[in-house]
Amino acid sequence: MLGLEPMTREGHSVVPRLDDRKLFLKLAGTFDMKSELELHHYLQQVQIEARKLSVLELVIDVTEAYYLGSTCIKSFVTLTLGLQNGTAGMLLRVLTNPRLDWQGRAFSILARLAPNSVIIDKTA
Amino acid sequence: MIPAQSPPRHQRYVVIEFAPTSGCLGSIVSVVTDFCRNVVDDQRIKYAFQLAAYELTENMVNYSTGGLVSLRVEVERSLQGLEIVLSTWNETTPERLADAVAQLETLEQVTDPTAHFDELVRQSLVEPNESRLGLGRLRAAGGLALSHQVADSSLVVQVRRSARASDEGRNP
Repeated sequence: MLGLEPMTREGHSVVPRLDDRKLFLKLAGTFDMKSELELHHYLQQVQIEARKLSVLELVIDVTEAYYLGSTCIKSFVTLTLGLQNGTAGMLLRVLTNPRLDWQGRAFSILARLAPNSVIIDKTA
Repeated sequence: MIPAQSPPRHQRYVVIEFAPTSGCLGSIVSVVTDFCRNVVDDQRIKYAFQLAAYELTENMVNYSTGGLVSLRVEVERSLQGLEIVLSTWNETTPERLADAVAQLETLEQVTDPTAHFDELVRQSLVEPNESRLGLGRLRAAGGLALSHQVADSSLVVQVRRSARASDEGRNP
């Protein structure tokens, strides 16, 4: 059973879903300085849940995210590196929106830091 | 304040002075992105300046010591075509000013902004309370050129990016 609740706030949301051993996170809206601390804590919980449930793949869908501040990007970096420790073989897949080309550039840092466990995909 | 200029006729710019609070962030960014959308028809430029507006305004909210800051977005013409220029002005502490200037001087000289940003990310992992990635991200992800000026306790940060001449034609 997934121990993560959706986080819905004015201007942004994160909705989790567990499907078999894939954990999906759907981000929507704007993640600026007002949401960075909450997102950071949420991603810490994601890391705990992913370990607890022995998730094989974490899919982060940012296709409806319209901005992510640099502190939020750092939180994803921390998550990526945290997942590398003790979750051997877990894949992190980031789904980006090809019409929002900043997304690919923003998340490409994750693939550069962990090229064997991070995939950046563009949705059709 | 951002230094006053004597604009030629038809110069296109917007200047905003505001008290630096996080509540005004979205409104400031909207003004900048609307300006860019009306000046050039290029989504990449719009997103680059959206990023710059967020990061620079957040810096002013976090580090300004004065009750007033300002931001100016404008179009400059050169022999190469158009440039969009975004400038911010704020006062800050001597320590923050020295830190910002050191970051900016480094960024203005790096030849590989992506490699430099990756190094900033690695360094940031040992700084739990700050990301210190914002300025580096403007060059690496925004493709923006940075420059700065210091006067007493004031810092002016300027970012700019060229737009294709064929993008011109819409009025803000």
